[in-house]
Amino acid sequence: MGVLVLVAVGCGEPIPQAPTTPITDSGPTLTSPPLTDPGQAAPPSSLPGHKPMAVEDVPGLPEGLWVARDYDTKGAKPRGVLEGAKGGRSIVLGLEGSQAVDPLSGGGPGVQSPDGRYVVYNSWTEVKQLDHSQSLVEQGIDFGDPVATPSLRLLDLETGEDRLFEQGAHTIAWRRDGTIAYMKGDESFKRLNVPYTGQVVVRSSLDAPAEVWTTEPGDYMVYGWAGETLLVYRLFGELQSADLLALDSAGKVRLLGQLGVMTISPDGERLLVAGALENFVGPAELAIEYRIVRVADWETESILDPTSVPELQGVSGSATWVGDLVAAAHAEGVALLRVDEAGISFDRLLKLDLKHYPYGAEGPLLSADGTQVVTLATETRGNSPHRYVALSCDLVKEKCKRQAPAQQFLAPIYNPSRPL
Amino acid sequence: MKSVQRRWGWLVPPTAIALVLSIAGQAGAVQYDGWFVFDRNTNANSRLYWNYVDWDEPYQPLHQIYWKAGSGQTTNECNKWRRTGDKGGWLPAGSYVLKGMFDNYDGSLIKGRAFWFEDKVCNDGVTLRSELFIHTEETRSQTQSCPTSGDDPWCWEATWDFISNGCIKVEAPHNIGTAHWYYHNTGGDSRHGEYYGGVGLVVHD
Repeated sequence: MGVLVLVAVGCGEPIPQAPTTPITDSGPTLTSPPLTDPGQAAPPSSLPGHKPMAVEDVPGLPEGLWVARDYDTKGAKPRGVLEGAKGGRSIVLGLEGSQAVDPLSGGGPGVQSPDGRYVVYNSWTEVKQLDHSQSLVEQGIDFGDPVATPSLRLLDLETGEDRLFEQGAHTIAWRRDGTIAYMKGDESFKRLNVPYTGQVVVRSSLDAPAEVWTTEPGDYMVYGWAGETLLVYRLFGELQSADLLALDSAGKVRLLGQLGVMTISPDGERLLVAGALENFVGPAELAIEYRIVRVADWETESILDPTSVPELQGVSGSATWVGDLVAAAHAEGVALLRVDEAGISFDRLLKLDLKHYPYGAEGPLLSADGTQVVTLATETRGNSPHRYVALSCDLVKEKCKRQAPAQQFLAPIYNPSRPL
Repeated sequence: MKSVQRRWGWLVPPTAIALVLSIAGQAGAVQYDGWFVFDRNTNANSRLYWNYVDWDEPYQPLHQIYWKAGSGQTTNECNKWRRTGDKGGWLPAGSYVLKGMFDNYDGSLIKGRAFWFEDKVCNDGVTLRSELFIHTEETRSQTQSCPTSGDDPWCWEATWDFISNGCIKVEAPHNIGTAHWYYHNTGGDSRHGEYYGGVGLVVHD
């Protein structure tokens, strides 16, 4: 996807087209040292002693609701399609000119209501058709100008009605009793290079009035409910560092630290979190430890030190927890962890073939009985562009079914809140 | 974006050139156009180029200076770094416009010399990458702070420092210094702070 041309800039003066004149290396004294090193960080070298899981092609999508978008859609900005609704229907999401999935949502398309009837999903409507491979400034959107309106839309799966739920809002958490929380922006527009700030609001039902739970405006992302406690990220600073907050009720906010929630325990009382590892010798970006903490008092129950198990170095953020089993995304596949009375421990790594899935697995979802895991993977075959596929893997046989290939975007409608 | 500077050739150290420039004023001024190119190879071993054209030279050849540079922890440009252990992908391909250049940036993670670029939606069409910089590991005052034997955030210790959360990183103090000098003196912009510069960055494989 290399783009080598810059056109006119905002001040009206051109930046030269990329190399049209002979290239000369002027570098007498100021060029860099020879490019010898290595520590290529990713994809990681393959871990020894693990054979990739076999993969067979199967039509259709894994069970559940999915938002898909085809890579090859021509013309107008492609919209998302909801797949997996009752009767095998495909439902086109959103309005003409908008797209399902809001860039501010972190890639999560939406959440299904606990009773199964509704989906609230993130939508994103740009102020005009934009080519994101090119500079937005060069397309007439200056720094601070509106880029798009993030919105939450409500889809009734019984009637098919799709309507605006909240304009200028994103990221949803839906509790078992129907209470819904989301981030409501201070204004409708996301502006270029300006954080999108607002407050986290909670409604006891879809039609109930919104109550503000945060105490000050911020760049929030709502994660999910752990019992009665709402988990929220507050982004700040360069690189979008994130504080994890626990909101117990309106105005009652606990700052839990720069931690990430990987998953919530099935009873909603504990979290598996990832946080910075103290006194780690190596790149700070890789110094992550995993902890089981209690939501109520934030006491740590057990710690898993990734430096003790080589396979843990590839674990990335998202996971699901069923019984005593946790499935976590890994740079080479799916890492299985155990959480029992002895604490948290590494179980095993289910490897994917890195030749076809160079980034490993994303967002693995365990089945209710803990015998299957459905994961997303970015697939590379030949010279074709990277595309998403869904892999449904049997944890006992260590075999996967490859489904829904050739999607530019594919993500499950998944509710991380617990209990459900 | 054209800047007007005095040409002194390449045998004089940049600091000396800057000193002479302040004395020489606009005498014999020439015009340059300059822009960054990031050529993605691996996360810890790619190249950042400064390209410039001297419009007073016959045939206006393209000059290229480059430095070893790193970006991200994965080669998936849509990965966003999080404290959850989510690893940040390298900078998305495409073109960018500069939002500002700082000599003494004082962020929570980035300090010292830093170039700030516009936000970008990556190639999945739905993931927004923001807070994108070219930077290094140094203090706000451009010095090294290395109090521990580990990875100090404002100290360039080792190859691992090329690995970033998604920005482009070059080595301190030399390479960030020369990138800074070329930017200011061969077609970038003389200003500091947050501004709309018009100077571009092109990222490609």
